[in-house]
Amino acid sequence: MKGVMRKGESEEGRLMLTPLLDMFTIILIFLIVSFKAQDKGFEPNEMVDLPESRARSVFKPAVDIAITSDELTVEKEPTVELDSGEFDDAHYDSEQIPPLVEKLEAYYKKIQGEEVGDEELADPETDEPILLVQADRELDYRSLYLVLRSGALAGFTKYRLAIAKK
Amino acid sequence: MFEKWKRAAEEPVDLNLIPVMNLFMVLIPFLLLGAAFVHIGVIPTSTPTQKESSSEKADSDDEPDSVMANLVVTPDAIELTFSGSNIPESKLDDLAERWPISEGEYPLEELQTALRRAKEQYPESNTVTVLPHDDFQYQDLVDILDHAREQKVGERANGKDEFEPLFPVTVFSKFIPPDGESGAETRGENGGDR
Repeated sequence: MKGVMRKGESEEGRLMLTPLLDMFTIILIFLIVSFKAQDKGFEPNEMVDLPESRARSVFKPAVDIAITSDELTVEKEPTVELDSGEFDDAHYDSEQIPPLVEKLEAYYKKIQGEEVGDEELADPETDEPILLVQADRELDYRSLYLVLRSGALAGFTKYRLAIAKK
Repeated sequence: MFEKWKRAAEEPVDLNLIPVMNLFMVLIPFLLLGAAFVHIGVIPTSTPTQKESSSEKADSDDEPDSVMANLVVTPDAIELTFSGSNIPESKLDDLAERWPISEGEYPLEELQTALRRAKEQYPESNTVTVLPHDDFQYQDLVDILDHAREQKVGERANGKDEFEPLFPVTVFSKFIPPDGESGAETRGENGGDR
């Protein structure tokens, strides 16, 4: 074995880094292409299977509502419990979800700067009251509309339905 | 001395790739964290709001003719009707369509064609009010919105589809099933805009 070694080559094995480097370069290019900074800090709820759509509207800062099969969260804070994707019957009868309305009213006031009594203190980035709704693709319209209606009662009139782009 | 230097100069020199590897090892986890494998988008919508119609009525004659599409989705059919303040009822009736739903298949292309026809006649139109039944699934609703909000008009040079707005403003309302002879009606928010 020693006989076939070139001059200056040591007996120690050397790592072949070139294939590894090639692989890393390909991974790097792929990741740069698919890299996309989170939209306005929006993080999709992992428990929600969003519907697919070809909509291309841009994100705007909004109050984030996620409807999973067992709970509704507002800005990741559990607010209302669901039973297999259904709200309590009393909510459907009254056509509103009182705890949600209450929480959204607080957010609405905060956005409008009413809470501190000074509109100049309203956050200019989020001064337009918008609700961003993440809902499972199998949710029925009755439940979706109940959430939208509760948002409307709290003062919100604009909504963004989160979708997974096709 | 010279021979030794010459021999050393002739020997191939290996590039030191370790710093490059280190850089990659830092970059890859960072990009992995920020990579978006599912691209999220949004569909802008709203619920009906009450208009101060008395003051706006006076200016309505100056407004360009436009229609508002009303899409009622019942368990067995999709009904498309139109409303517009300056347009005769007969013309609106000509635009109206009704498609039965069979085996959960929704007539999305036919819906888009009907909306395109209305848009061609009244180019200023941009609003569709959607009134689905209670059990209507969210994914089906999004599919309908995709076809109502924009239409494919061709392909760009980069191979991506090109779309043009059709009825991009979406308003959700609730469909109240016909009760006796009262017929279908919509119930709006903030005071009951129809």
